[in-house]
Amino acid sequence: MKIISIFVKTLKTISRNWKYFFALFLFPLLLIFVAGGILNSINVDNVRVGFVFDSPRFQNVDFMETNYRVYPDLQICLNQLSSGSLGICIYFYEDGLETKINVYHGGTNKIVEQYARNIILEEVSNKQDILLMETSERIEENLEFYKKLFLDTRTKLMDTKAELILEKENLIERKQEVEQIREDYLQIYYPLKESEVDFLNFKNKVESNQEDMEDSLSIIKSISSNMNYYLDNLREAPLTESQQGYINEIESYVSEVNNFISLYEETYNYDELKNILDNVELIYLKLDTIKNVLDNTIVDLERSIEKMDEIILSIGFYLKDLEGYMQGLYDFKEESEYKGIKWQIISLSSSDNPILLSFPLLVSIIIMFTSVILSNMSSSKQIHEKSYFREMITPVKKRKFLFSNYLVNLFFVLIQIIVLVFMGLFFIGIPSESIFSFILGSLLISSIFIFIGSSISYLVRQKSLSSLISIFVLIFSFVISSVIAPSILINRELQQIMGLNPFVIFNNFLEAIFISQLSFEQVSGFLFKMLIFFFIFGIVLIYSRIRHDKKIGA
Amino acid sequence: MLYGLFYLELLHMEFIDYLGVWELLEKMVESILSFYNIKKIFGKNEVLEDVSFYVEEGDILGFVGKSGSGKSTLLNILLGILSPNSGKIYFRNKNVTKKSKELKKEIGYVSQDNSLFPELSLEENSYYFGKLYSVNKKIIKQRFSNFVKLLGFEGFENFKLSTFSGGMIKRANILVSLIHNPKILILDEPTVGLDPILREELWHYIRELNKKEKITVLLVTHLLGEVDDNCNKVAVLKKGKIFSLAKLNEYRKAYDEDSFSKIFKEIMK
Repeated sequence: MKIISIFVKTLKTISRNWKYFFALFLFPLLLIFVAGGILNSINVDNVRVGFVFDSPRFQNVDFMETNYRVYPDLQICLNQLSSGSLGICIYFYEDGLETKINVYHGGTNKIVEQYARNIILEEVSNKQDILLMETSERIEENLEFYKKLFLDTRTKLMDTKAELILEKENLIERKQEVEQIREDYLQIYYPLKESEVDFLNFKNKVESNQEDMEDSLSIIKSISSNMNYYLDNLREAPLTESQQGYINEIESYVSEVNNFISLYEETYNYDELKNILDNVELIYLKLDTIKNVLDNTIVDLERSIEKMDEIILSIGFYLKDLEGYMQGLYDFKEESEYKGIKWQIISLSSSDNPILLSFPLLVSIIIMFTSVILSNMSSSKQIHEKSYFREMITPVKKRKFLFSNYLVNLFFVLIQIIVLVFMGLFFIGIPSESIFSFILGSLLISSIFIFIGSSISYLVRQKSLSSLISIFVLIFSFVISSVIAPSILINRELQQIMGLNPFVIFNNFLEAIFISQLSFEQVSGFLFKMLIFFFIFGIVLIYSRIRHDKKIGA
Repeated sequence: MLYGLFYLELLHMEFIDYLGVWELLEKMVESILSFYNIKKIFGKNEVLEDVSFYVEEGDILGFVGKSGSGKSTLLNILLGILSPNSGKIYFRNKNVTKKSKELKKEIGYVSQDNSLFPELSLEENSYYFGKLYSVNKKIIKQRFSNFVKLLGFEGFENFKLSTFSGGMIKRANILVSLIHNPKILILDEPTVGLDPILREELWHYIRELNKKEKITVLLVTHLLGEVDDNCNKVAVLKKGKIFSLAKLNEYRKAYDEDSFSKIFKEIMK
C-alpha cells in the first residue's frame, strides 16, 4: 500500500507539472513522430542527382523521373555535391571512341553512400540497358535506311555518269561532223571569197556603165524629142518635097533611134541586174556568217564536252565520298555492336580512411554534446546558487554576466577543439589548410550550442527538467540529421528542415573542409548560416535571461 | 525647491497625520533613503500600495509583517531587482527610481542563506564582489583587512567558505556585503539557523558596524525578539501598506507595552 501511495503521489506530482508532462510524454512522442516521418520518407527517388552531359550520345537522358537537375559544367555539379545539395553527380563524356559515365558521390558516409550507390547503380544500369537496346535498335534502323539510301544514290549517280559519258561521246561525234562540214565548206568558201573583190569591181563597173548609158540615152531621148519637135514645126512650114523628103528621112532616122532606144531599154534591164548583183553580194556575206556559225558551234561543242568531263569527274568524286560514308556506316555499325559504355564510381574524398570519413560526425557530436550539456549544467548551477542573487543585486549589467559565462563555456569547449585539432592533424590526417576554417566554424557552432544550453537552463528553472530537455534537444538534433536516416534519401521538404539544424550545418561544413577539402571561400556559405544562428540564439539567450530574472524578482 | 517637491509628494501620503508636514519634510530631506507612493502590481494583484517611508542615517530599521504583507517585494525593489509600477525612490535626496545602478552601489545585502561562492575563499569572494562594484584593488585589500579584524576572521582569510561554520558564513556574508562601502546594509533574516549564542555574536558585530562605520541597517525579519533587542525604529507592513513607522519607544508608549511581540500581535488584530 505504501508503495502504491508513493507511486500515486509521484505520478500526480509529475503529471501536474506541465513541463514534466511535456518532457516525459510529448517530447518522446514528438521524437518518435519526427523519426518515423524521416524514416518513412526514405526513398531512393529522393536522392538528388545532378547530370552533366558532355557526350553526343547522351544529350538529355531521362534517367530519373524526378529529383534531378542538369548542369552545364561538371565543376558546378561537383560544387553542389560538396555543399550537400546533391547526393550524386553523373557525368557523361567522350573519351576517344568510348562514351564514359563518371558517378561522383561525397564519400563522407560509407554506409549511406554504399546504400545510395548500389541503388543508384542498379537504377542507372537498368535504365542504361534499356537505353542501349533502344539506341542500338534505332541505330540499326537508321543504318539500314541510310545504307539503302546511299546505295540508291550511288546507283543513280553511276547511271547518270554513264549517261553523261554517252552524251559526251555524242557531242564529240557531233563536233567531228561539224568540223568535217566546216572543212568542206571552207573548200568552197575560200575560192568564193577570193572572187568577191572581182565581183565587187564588176558590180561597180556595171553600176557605173548603167549610169553612163542612162545619161546618154537621156541625151539621145532629149535630142530625139527636140528633133521631133523641130520636125513637127518644120512640117508645118512649107517645105519642099526634097526638104520634106529630107525631113521624112530625118524623121525615119529619129524614129529608128527611138526604136533603138526602146529596144535597148527593153533588152538591157539594169534593175534586175542590180538585184542579181545585190543578191550575189548577200551570198558573199552569208558565206562569212555560215563560217562563223560553224566556228562557234565547234567552240560550243568543245566547251560542252569539257563541262561534261567536269561533271563526270565530280560524280566520280561523289561516288568515292559515298563509298567512304558507306564504309563509315558499316564501321559504326560494327563499333556500336561491340563497344559499350564504360562507367566508374568516383568519390570526392581524397582519402578512403574510414576514421577521416567519420571524423566530421564525431567532432560535430562531441562539440554539440559538450557545448549544450556544459552550458546547461553551468548555467543551471549558477541560477540555483544563492550567489546568483548576490550577483544580480550588484551594479553590473546582465549582459556582462551572460558574456562572461559564455566565455567560460567557450573556453572549455575550446580546449576540446584544440585537442580535436591536434588529433585530426597528427593521427587522422585532416588537411592543415582546413584548420583556420575548422576553428572558426567550431567557435561559431560551440557558441550556438552554448546559447541553446544556457537558454534552456534560464527558461526551465528545474535542474532535472532542464537537463532532460537539453538531452531531448540533443537527441532531436541527432534525429533530424543524417545520423539515423541518410539525408540524401529523405524527401526534399525534410531535407530542407534538416538543413536548418545547426548540427547538420556544422557536420556538412566539416565534411566540406576535411573530406572535399574545399577552400575558405567555398565554405563561407556554411559559416554565414552559422553566423545567422549565432545571432538568433544569442537573442534567445538574452530574452531567456531577462525573463528568468524577472521571475526571480517576483 | 526640494521642500516643494517633497510637499507635493506628501500630499498623497497617508501617514502625514502622524507628524506635522514641515517636520516630516525636514526629516525626509535629512533622510538617507525615502520611498514615495511606491506601488507594485503583479498581474491583478497589488502587492505594494502607495508605500512611503524614510530612513535616517544610522537607523536600525526593522521591517515586520505577516507573510504576504509585501516585505519581500519591498526588499527586491530596494535591491533593484524589481522596478516599481509607480512612485519614487530617493537616496540622499536624489531620485534613483530609474537609476537602480546608483542605488545598488549604496546597498549591501546579507541574505538568510549563504550567498557567496563556497568553492572560493573569503578573500577571493571579497575581491570578486569588490570588483563587481568597481572598487579599486588597493581599497578592497584595505577594507578587507579592516573587516577581517572587526568580524573576527584573522587566520581564515584564505579558507574556502565550504569549511566555515554557520556563524562564520553569516559573518562572511556581512563582510563581503560591506566590501564596497555601502551606506545601507539590508539584512534579510540574518540569524535564521543560528543558535542563540551565535545569533548574539552576529548582532554584536552588526551593532559595531552601525556605530563605527555609521552604516544604516534595514532588517527584514520574522524574529520580533531581534527587533526588540536591536532596532531603534520599526515599520509594520500590513496588506501591502506601511501600517506604521515609528521609534520603538514610541510604539511602547503608544501601546503601553514593553514587548514588541505583543505590540505586533495587537497591531495585527
